[in-house]
Amino acid sequence: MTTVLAHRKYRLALRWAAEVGKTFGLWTLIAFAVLHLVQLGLRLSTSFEGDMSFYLLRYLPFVLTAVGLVYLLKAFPLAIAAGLTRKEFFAAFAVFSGIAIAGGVAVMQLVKLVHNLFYSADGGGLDLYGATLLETLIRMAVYFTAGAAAGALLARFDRRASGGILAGAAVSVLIFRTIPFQLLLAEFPEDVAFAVEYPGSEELLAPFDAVLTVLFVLVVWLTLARAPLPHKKG
Amino acid sequence: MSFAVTLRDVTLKYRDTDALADVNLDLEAGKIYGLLGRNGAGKTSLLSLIAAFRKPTAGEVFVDGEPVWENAPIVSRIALIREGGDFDDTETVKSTIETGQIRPAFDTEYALHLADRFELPLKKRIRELSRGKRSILAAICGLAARAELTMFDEVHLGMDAPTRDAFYKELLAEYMDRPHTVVLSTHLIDEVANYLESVVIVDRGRILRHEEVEVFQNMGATLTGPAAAVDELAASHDVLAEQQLGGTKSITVAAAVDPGTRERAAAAGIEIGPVGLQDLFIHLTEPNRKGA
Repeated sequence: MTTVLAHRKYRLALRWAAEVGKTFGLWTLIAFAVLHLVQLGLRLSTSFEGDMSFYLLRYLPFVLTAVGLVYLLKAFPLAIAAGLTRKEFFAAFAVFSGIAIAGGVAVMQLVKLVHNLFYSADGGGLDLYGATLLETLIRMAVYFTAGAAAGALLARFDRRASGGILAGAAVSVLIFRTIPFQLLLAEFPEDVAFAVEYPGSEELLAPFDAVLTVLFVLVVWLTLARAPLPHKKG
Repeated sequence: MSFAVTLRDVTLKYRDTDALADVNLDLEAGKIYGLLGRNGAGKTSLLSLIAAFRKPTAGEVFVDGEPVWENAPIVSRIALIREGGDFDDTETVKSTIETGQIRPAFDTEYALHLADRFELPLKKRIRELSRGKRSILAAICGLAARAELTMFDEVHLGMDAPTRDAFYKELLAEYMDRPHTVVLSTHLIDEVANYLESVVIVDRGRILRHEEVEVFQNMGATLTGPAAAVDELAASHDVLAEQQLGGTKSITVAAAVDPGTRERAAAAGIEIGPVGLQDLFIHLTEPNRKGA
């Protein structure tokens, strides 16, 4: 019985990971395969030479945001109702986060690999934030934890409007995090007070994202460490 | 093994409102308790604290002598089954039952046996179940948890009468087979009265009464016999309920019957029976009533 108790958080994490693999993971790979099939068709039938994988690199991380949000929001009340402590839940969700982020990194690296193998004319590969392994890892982590923070806020406020506003704020921080950098670092022409470009410069984004990831994890912890399980609505 | 429960000076506030105020309560291990109270009395709040679904604003909750909050060996062996169950609506019945294995003593084979007995379709998704079937699944998960402390909070809602009866019998069989502590929170008082050993009445956030069922039953009596004789005998007592069929009348009074009254009743052809728990509950929780 003690062994069951000690291992149950890991079993739960693996169960969630398997679910995500069979749904979000599979859908992503199917989308990736379809994209390349369409590109292949275009290459064979027209003079099209491009690769749209660039967009996958930019927008696939939002899938992880959705996974973080959906799974935290649904898993927290179910886990507590099933007799887990909040600490056990955090441990389970941390393991699950690690697996989900690793899966995200693997998909991103696959996108990059395929691009470099088949589409990069100069052999230089994709050059943007999130293309190197470490950057990919940090980027996946910040997108996932932002979703988890939003899910935690929604769960804490029992999906009420106040929770929705705070969750929206967490996701907004993620989406618009480049803007403060521009305002702080950019040198504007004399006749311009300030200018904002979106998505903006990503030069210092990796260290900032690492810090932001820690902050999002703290939001999850502080939000749920003493959170009650809401009464059922009759 | 079964769990005892102790609450010491427990208060739970929702903003400025006291859901529970200075509650002190001891539940012995290995008994079946009924938790009664009007709507909003604080029953669900009380159960939520015992299951560590919430942390009290003040005071402490102990289960098996240990603080329950964030105590994995304890909370993993407490099952609080709430109305309609706590399920992922997108999962199937079978998958939901398997999720129960997160509890150390969960008996999957028993759960599947009960699912078969109560005709639960294993392949159906939770969102496709009727309210009654959903309640049955919740009850099954509670029984199969094989917890040391199992609490059912209005879990019977939506179940039809034969299913409720079958559930109570299964609960009793499981209890006889494996003694543990059970708390039944319900408004169907007379339906469960025969299964209870002890009753806790919660009223306006406080424990109004906590007694053995026999004590409650001796707090009043039901007088049945010729209408005129019953009326005469009950005249000096607080009447809880009355029924009449033809010339026969039945009056429930809120007072123990003394030997003198028993003799007069026997002489007048009046039968004296125990008071119904529901009638007594209504009387005790009457909003205009003062004291316990």
